[in-house]
Amino acid sequence: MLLLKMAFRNLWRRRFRTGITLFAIGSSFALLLFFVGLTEGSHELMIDLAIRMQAGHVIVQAPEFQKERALELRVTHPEKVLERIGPLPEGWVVTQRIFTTGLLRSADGSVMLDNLMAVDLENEKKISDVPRKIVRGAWLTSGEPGILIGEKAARLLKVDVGDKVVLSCSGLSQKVEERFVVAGVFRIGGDSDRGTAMIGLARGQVLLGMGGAISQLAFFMPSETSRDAARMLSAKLADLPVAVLHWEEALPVLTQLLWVDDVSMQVFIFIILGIVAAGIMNTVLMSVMERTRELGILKSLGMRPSSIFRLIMTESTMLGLLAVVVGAAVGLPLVYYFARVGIDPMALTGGEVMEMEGIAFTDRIHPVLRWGSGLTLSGIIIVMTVLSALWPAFRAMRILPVKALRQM
Amino acid sequence: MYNFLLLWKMAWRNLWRQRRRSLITVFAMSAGLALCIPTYGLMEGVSREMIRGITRSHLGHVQVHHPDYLEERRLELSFPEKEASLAVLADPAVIQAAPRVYTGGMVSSEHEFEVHVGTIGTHGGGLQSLVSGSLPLKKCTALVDERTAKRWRLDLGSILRFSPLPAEPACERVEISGVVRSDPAGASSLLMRPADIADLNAPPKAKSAAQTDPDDIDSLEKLAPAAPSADATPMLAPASDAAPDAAPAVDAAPAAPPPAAPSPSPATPADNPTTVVFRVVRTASSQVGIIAVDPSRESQVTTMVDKVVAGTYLNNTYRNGQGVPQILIGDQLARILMVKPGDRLGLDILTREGFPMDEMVEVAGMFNSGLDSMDRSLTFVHLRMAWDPELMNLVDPKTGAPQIHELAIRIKDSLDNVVVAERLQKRLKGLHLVAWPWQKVEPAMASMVKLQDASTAILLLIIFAIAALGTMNTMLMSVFERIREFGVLKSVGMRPFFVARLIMLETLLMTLVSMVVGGVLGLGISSYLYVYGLDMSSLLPEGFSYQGVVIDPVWRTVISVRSFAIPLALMSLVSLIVAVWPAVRAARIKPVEALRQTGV
Amino acid sequence: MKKFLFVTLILLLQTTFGRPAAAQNWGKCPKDTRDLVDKADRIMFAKTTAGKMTMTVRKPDQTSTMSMTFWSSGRENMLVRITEPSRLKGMSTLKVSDNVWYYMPRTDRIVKVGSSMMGDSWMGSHFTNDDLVKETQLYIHYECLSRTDGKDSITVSLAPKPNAPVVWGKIVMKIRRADSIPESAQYYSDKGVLKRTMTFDRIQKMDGRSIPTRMTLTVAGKNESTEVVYDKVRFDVAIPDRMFTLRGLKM
Repeated sequence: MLLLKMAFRNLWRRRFRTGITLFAIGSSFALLLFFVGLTEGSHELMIDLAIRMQAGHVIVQAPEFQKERALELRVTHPEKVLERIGPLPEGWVVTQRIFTTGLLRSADGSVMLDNLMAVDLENEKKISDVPRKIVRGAWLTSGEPGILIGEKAARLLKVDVGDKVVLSCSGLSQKVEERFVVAGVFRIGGDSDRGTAMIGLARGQVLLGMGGAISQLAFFMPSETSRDAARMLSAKLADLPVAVLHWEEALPVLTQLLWVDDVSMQVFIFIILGIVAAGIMNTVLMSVMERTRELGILKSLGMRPSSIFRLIMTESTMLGLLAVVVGAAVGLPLVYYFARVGIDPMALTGGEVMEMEGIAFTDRIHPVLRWGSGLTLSGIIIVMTVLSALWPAFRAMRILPVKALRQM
Repeated sequence: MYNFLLLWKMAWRNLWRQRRRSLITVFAMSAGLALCIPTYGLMEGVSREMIRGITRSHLGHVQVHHPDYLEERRLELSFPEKEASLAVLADPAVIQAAPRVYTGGMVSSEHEFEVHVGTIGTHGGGLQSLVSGSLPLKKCTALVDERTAKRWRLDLGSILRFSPLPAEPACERVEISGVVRSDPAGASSLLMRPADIADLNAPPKAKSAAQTDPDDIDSLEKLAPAAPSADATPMLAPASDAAPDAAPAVDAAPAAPPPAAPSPSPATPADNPTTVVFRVVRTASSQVGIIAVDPSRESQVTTMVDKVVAGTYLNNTYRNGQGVPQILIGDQLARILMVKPGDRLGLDILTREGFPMDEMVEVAGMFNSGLDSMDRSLTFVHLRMAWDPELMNLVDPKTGAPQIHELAIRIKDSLDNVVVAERLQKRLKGLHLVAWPWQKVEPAMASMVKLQDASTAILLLIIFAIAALGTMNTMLMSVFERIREFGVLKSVGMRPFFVARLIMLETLLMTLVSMVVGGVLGLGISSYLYVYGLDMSSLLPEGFSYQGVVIDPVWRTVISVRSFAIPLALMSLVSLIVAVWPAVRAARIKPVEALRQTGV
Repeated sequence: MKKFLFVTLILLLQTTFGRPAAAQNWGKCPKDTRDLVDKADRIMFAKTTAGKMTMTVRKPDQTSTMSMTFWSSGRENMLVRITEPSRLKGMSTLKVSDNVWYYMPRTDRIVKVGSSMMGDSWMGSHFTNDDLVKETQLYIHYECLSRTDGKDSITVSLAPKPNAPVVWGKIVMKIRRADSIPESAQYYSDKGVLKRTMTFDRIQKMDGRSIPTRMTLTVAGKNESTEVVYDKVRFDVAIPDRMFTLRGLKM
């Protein structure tokens, strides 16, 4: 179309100005991409760490278990649950856990365990953070009556790998006591190193008199599919006496924290857009004003006002699109690079370990940019550009040829 | 001199001549500035608010302890209050220091009410009325009706105690095994086994004549050897395990084999349609952490007073008019204990020697800190309770000097706290105490703040970068557009350096104007946000809290010199730097080239 | 260890040791070793016991003393009432099978000791609430390692059976040859480090029996101990059952 050609040529004629403007908007866009990627990346990390310890992407447990973690509130027939679900989709892992409390004693003292877990050794190993964080000893094997304890607990009890400890806890019907051997010592960070301990599921079931029952089934899957998965599981298990929870329901504190972060991110994007808009409006306005004479001539030659309007708008739109392309060209590699390398959060906090809900965030943050976010941002920038150009275009439309020609 | 004036006049006239262009340029720069200033203020505000939340809610800016206290948290690691407070308050930066004693204990509430005790047969609906749980098959278990269960927060496994305790071997306590539908008439029902009810209703046995006082050890009679009496055999019987939580030692008594009892035979319990009214006691108790504080000093250091949602904060006097000490509990705890301000609680507090002492306390008020675990398990009492010889008795065994575990200090300028902590440390050296800034006491919080600050810094950087880019864009364009103009000037003899200076001056003038306009606008927005704040509460769920730090959903800016100086300085710097390139270009342009340009 | 002490001294151990097990070697020791340890353990046993005792807890910065009256019946029931000092007078502890209650006289309240409090120390001593509840399972969980017969006393080493839920690695008991009264018991960790020592002395005749009237629990390596002295003990006396009820606790 003629309009397109004219628009392009106008931009091209003033390469310099176009270039600078593209650089300005494009860089802004790139920075925005990076910022969004960083935020999303840190969120992913937090979610990942949090759900792997206490929940799953989707968890199945007794209906009141979320409110009160009592041993009696159990899933009596986990095999029925699994049967109902059928073969697991690709990429899924399911683990089974029992949560309870107990007292761990050694010759030197005792430690209250507020988070004693009996876990499916094979599957838990695949998803849990603990195997990576074992500092001495190793993961549990199904043979030995082994227990994994935290570093702080080991210190308080003055025990190490291979030493014996006595675990006392309340089973379903009676109190029980059993001797365990410290199979490994972990360092997760925070209070978990004192109050959290793990034993094998089978042994836990026998010890606590649970029979075949467990406290929770935790499903892990690619994170984007979690919502659908929750719905699907809910439907399949509708008639069983269990509750299906998405991690957002299972970890309300985390969800809240992320929500706040998202909100503040949106506020700042808004501010940034304001600045970008001002810049664009300024640019287009300037460009219109510079070309008053030219536009006046065009009008006097018969070009309709609406065409002039469309011309300016087209120029601006092209500018926006090009800026997005330029920005993406710069921003995407940047995000990609850091996504590969990761950013050390300790560099940001100046060497301190950040902790939340007993979980320490020591892993590197990998910026993540979803197609959705990227496209949304691009769209916003373009829309912004277009909107900012409206007034200048409007002004351009109303140039009176006579006045224009009189200008220098 | 003349040159300078000429320069000035020319610069102004240039700008004025191209009003529109200048205005647009100024507009762009001002807008950028007007947005950056409040953003910086907002960020600073949120950060300050976070720190304020952390320090004013409980921590204080600096804390003083025995060197090992925070690690071990043992009662004995205390220090003399008077000397430490004097040393600390002598420092001019200190506003107030709040003394604290930490210990643990238990609070319990007792609620007495009436129930109509009967069998499942007497209850309307009979077996069908069972809503949850199971029938009371074991000794000393019972069913309770829904309404009563709800009212007194009874659930499966809850225990009710009869009041007064039955004299004869009968269930002293019952465990709730199930819940039944309520009697529409509204009576509170407790349904037990016929045998248990018979025991409760049994008239007291005639006391054997010479009832020995068991306290007098010497007067106790010897057991007959191989006694068939009740004492020996039943105690060995493992049958006692049948009712794990049932009334103690009832099983040892010969209540079951009826012959000894003179009471009417329980042969026809099912026929008994009437119910008997008994009084029962529901005890709700909770293990709590106890913090003993000096209310007047504490309220000058922390904002706990503001968090009181019912009743009042602690009184300045230890005991009230009736001689009862006060306690401040969390609203969640109040709910669990089913109490409200004015109610009495039993407090068991761990003393210096390690055993528990008890005292009745009155609930002064309830607080909501925003953190569930705090609202459920933390209580506050008057500092004097810690020094009460009848209770905690936390005084130096040798000197009798009252001891505390912690001094929480509030200082004038919160940002100074690390420096002040060092100073206080020196003052306290003689007492062998440590003074730590809150960042050292709660490194997790400190790192959270640092992370927040870091991400804010990145954000601000991005914003400034974008604003600077916009400015740069504008400035460059406004100069480059007029290259031709400058070429003309040069062709009529203007010296290159003059041209450069002209451009720089124009830039400077526009920058100055933008600074004023942008500054004023920025101030306006900042002020507005300072007074009204950015209300995020519609987007955030009610009040957000992290680790007990409540973050105000209304974001306010901080009007500080920094929030102005930095954006202004940065912007000006950027625009001036950006002007250099075109200035140099213009200075070096050959007039011929310039004239050849066909305008913009 | 503490369980061993407290329960041994105050409660009855009825069937644990009374069971006539296969009378072969007990572990590596001659068969009469079991009877010997048995006897030592039962030095305080009777169907019921009642008495007065004084407990002194010594810690580096303070020492506290309290006197109390106690009654016990069978394995299941025990009631302790503190008589001195006046600050603690009337405070009582009742144990019936696995449950423990305190009575607090100042506020006239009965407090149930919940499971999270079981690990806490009892009245500031080196015993825990848990120790009151647990039955000694010495015979069930330990077997004899070695035995040395000296002139006046016999030393027996006990080691836990495989998988026994006990924290100790070894218990060394010294028993008087003449009357099978225990002299001491030493508790070692798995690695062989001495952690606790119980000593029994001041043997006197009480209600027709010779018993060690002073028992001291010392924590190795720290300047801390809990000492229990019996002022008076009576065996096999008629204790009304109502003592071991909440009502009895309150009285």
